[in-house]
Amino acid sequence: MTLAQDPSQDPRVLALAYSRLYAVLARALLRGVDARMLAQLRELDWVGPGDGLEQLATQLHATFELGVFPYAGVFLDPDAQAGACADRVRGFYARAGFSPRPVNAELAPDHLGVELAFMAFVSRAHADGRLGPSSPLLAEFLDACVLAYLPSLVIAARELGEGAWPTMLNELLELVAAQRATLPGPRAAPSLCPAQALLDDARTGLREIAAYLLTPARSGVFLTRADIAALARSRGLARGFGSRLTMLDNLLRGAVEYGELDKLRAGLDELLARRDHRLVELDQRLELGPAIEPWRAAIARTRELVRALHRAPSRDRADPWTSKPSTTTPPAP
Amino acid sequence: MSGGPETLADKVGRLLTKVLRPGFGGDEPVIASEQTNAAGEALPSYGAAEPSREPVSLLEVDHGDGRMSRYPPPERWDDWVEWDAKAWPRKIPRRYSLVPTICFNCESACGLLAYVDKTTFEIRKFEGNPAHPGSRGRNCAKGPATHNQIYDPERILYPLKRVGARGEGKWKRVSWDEALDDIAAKMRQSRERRRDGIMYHVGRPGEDHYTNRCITAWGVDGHNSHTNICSSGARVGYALWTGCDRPSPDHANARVILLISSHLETGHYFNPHAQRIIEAKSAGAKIITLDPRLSNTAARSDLWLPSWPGSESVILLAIAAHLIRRRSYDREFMRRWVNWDQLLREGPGLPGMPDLPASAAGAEGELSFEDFEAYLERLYGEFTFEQAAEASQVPIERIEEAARLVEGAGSRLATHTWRSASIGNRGGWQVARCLFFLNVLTGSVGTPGGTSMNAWNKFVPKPFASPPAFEAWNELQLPHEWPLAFFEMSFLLPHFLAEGRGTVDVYFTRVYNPMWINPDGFMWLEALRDEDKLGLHVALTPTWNESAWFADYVLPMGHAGERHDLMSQETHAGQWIGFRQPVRRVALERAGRPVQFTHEANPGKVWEEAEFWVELSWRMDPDGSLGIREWFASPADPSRPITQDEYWAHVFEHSVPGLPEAAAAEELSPLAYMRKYGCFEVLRSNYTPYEAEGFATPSGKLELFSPTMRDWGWPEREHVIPWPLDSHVSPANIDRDRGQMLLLPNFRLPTLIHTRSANAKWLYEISHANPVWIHPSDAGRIGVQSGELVRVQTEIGYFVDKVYVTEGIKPGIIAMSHHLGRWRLASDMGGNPGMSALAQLDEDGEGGHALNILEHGRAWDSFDPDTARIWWQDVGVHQNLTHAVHPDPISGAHCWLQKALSVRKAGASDRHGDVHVDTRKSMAVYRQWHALTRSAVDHSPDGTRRPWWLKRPLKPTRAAYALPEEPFGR
Repeated sequence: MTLAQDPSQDPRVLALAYSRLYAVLARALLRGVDARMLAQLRELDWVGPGDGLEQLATQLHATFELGVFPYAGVFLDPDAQAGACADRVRGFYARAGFSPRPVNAELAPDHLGVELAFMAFVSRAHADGRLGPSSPLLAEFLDACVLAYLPSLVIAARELGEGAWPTMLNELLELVAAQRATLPGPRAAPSLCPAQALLDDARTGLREIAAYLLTPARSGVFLTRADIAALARSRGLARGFGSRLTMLDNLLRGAVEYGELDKLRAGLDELLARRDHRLVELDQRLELGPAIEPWRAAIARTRELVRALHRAPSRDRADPWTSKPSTTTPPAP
Repeated sequence: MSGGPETLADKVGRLLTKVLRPGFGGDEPVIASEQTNAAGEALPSYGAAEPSREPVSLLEVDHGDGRMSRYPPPERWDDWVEWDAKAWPRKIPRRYSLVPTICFNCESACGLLAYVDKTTFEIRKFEGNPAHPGSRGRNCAKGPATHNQIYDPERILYPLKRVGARGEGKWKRVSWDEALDDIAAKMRQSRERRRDGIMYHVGRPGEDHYTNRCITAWGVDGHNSHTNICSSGARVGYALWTGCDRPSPDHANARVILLISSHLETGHYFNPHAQRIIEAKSAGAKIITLDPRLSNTAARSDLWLPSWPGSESVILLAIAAHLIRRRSYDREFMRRWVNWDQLLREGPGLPGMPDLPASAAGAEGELSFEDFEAYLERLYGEFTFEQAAEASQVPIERIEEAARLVEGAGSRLATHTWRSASIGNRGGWQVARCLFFLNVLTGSVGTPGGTSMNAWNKFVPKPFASPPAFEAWNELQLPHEWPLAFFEMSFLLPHFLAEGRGTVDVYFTRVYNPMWINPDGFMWLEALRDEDKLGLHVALTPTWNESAWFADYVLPMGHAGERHDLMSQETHAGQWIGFRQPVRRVALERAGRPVQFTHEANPGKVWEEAEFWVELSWRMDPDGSLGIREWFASPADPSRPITQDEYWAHVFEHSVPGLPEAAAAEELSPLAYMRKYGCFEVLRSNYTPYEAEGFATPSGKLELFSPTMRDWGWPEREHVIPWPLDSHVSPANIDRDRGQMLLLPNFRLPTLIHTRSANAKWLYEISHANPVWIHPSDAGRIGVQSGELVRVQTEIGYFVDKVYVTEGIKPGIIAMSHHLGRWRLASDMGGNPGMSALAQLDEDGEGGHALNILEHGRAWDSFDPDTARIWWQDVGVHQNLTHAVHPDPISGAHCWLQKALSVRKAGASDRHGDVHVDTRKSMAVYRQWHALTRSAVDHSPDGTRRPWWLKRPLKPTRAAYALPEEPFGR
């Protein structure tokens, strides 16, 4: 029998264990991996024997600075802004008396690493008795600020490819799910953006479509550069370079101009379906229910949107400079 | 565990069990609450600002090459808000005080703009200063890397005093007061006994008059420089022509740019010259480069002449002869400005000089310009393209093409030599002379697109209250054997000490690492350890270095953004001054937080020389009895030392034309103006000033014929006029059939800063190794491939390094970048483990020295996570230890090119980085070269040590010029 299964195990000891695990992950995300931490990660089987310091540093950069952005705001904010959930997390931090030091000020308080540091801090408070077992603080925080987006982040990171960091994110999600199951209180679902009749708006152009797709709280998915590049590559279209918005806008414009919108739409739908399926898998394995449903609903709406794009007159060339709605407004019935 | 698949609960339980095991070490705090901001102890932190402002229109600078840059406008420099790039994808506004300063990482004095956080007063970054007339907002990689140096985890933060034996590596932290009192007392003792006991040995000067004024005030002949391992050869060549010792090519306006070697890319004037060369090239100018190595510059030139070192003068004179034969030179310019009549009157009859043509001298006995033209043709008629091609091993077509281009340049020929051939070869000074001959012939002297002299394009304000010249002459610096040297024979100091020529009571090394940067470093090791000969060694340095390890005091001095200095440089055909400032101090003062001494604002107790010298001099003469203290007293209150504000306010108010008016127009004081902009343009352009002033030579003309050379013991043709001199590494002196090769050690990768690049992680990531460049034909002969080790035997020892096989180097020559191969003697002190090798020194007591590498570069743990990411091991090989000294008998330059007696595949016992030297051979080679000198004792025409008109960095009284009564060795 393992420690987590042992009902006689002191919950304060369990809390100490969670605190340490969260701390390891927080340090890894905030500071990168040093030799001491590498030994710890290996002990936890979170990295393989082939993962050295250099590889981990490179992957850290590739995963979280070029790939996905581990901020609650990026996933939950209507403008997908990192740091946009700062006030929400700060409220929890203040309740616990937790204050990030200035050296990490360049990371927003809603950065996953800072959140993990907070979770380590609160778990430690549970462990040493400063917070009683009935305190709702940690459960509320996990629901509102971690589980609310972590599944989507885990799935986006996993699609970047195999690697230690996607693996660690997955391990983290499992830990959080397991701990949440031990905490009191009903589970709260995240509040994403309400449905938006984007295509009903005559001002909507390809750029607005792209922005919608790149806003996880609306589209239900985080699209990385790699996702956009893969969509372009598989359809033989150009996507250019620059911001993700520029790339996706280029891709949509190219698809319209060269009559390839159907293919691109199919690719997008495949991606959305795949993401939805992965959410289902996670739910089945981790029983994440309320945390998953809003994301699945958003994906479903986005698939509808993509299908509606299918009705657009694909031969009708867009104005390459304005990308305005001649291609995206459905014809009158 | 059961045999089934692991459930989530099992998995989590397993993790939790592991993490609770004793020894997992999970209790380290992740996030602390206190702020840390001391450089050298933590990474800097920055405060957040409110993003409330409307966007600001940026200042646009339109560069001459068609590109444009944008900068924060100066009116917003006091309070600048911008997004934090590193916080991306978040939009974090940061609020900065932008403080201009001057780069300290080479001598170009480019403008930097420090972004000082207004909350923490940490420096976020250094960018270009758009107001700077020389650099115009641009910098090379070395400027922004100043940030690395300031936040270097290994930097010296506090004054250190030796507590064990010299070189033992035991230090204690002392206060500035303790250090100042001790050093000042020893200086006073020395000064009371003699006027040549204190020596200030400067590596990177980085300023134009301040320290020299201090030394003059001490009343000693104490200035020693690094010039003789840098630029002496070129200086002599230019000085003999013009009286000024540095060139200032107007690249931007040139039609043809002729470069000897690779100045554009080797770091010297890199940024200001490179951008102007690019401008000219964009406008159609042609670039010709002479260099045996395919440098970046050569690769981008229109014409690359891979000449054998030492043959440059032959090529240049072949071009000159071409112009002379075709009479395609600027006759009017020559007639007006060349001392041709003196040549005709005094030249014939000297050894090797031809007689005047029979047709010379008309009916009235007057020698005409036409006579000169005929004589000129006779003088240089023997130089042909064929001869040049043979001597240089360059295809004749390329030399002919170079001549065609030069001929077509008219008065827009910009030429430049500084180090390279001029400092590489015995007689290298004649390379500069022959090169400038082309400027004289084409009339491109001081013209738009031509070549000016530094004094025309550099502005040095008068110092505050100049002390009188000292009456002293230090024989250890300018001994009688080298009366024409430019300047001090600094690299021979250990040889002079070994010979018993004298001693030094107090020896300052200032941003200088003599044991590492000079040739024959083990001779320096022996000198630095000898407390009887070098009494007190004070290392003023921003960083650890090999020589400081053998000092008695190591005093931390600031980098570019941590000090006051005033600088000007001849970057183009204008004049400007640049004001280096301690940027944190200025930002604090802008915020209303007064600072008395700069070390209060700098990291740790890092100080600046400008204040240090004042305090030291004050304590050296506390009662004023030595006549020193008065020069360091405040003009407002003579009972206390002068402050930096007082000093610079006086200078800017009284000796910079136009500055008070420009400041008044902005309702600023001149000092406030300089603190705001960091620079001032004194003259937009300054062409042909000699039209009003003549030249600074004895004749006032351009001296094609040098009476000085004749009068001081060098009357032969090859010395009195531009003429090739036989290099010590000419083909005749390198027996390639016996496996000898020429070692070219005097090029530099463009991101290196002598010693201090090893404290800049960005720069070292770019270049950290100096393999031996070797041509495939030579590599095949020796039997090595890229990456394999060779042992290179020099005149005094050998080193072992990897090879880089490339067609970018001429057959018969091996080349190796200097400024790499740093080492330290302790694993945890004396240098960065990632940038220096851990080494061991051994000696046999009879002159045999060995340096063996115990550990090459490696990653290490510090507060900076980047130090754990060092991915390289090879940090280069310290080749200079194995270089014999080669003092040119005239210029005094160390002629860097070495004869490699053998280059062979390394043996089984050879290890990468091994160095072995026999200093008995060092002294033997020194004596061979010393024998070439012609002493002032034997040749002075007037009983003085040196021609009065030749420059010295600090000129003593005329009385001090009298020949010594007991010259050494007589």
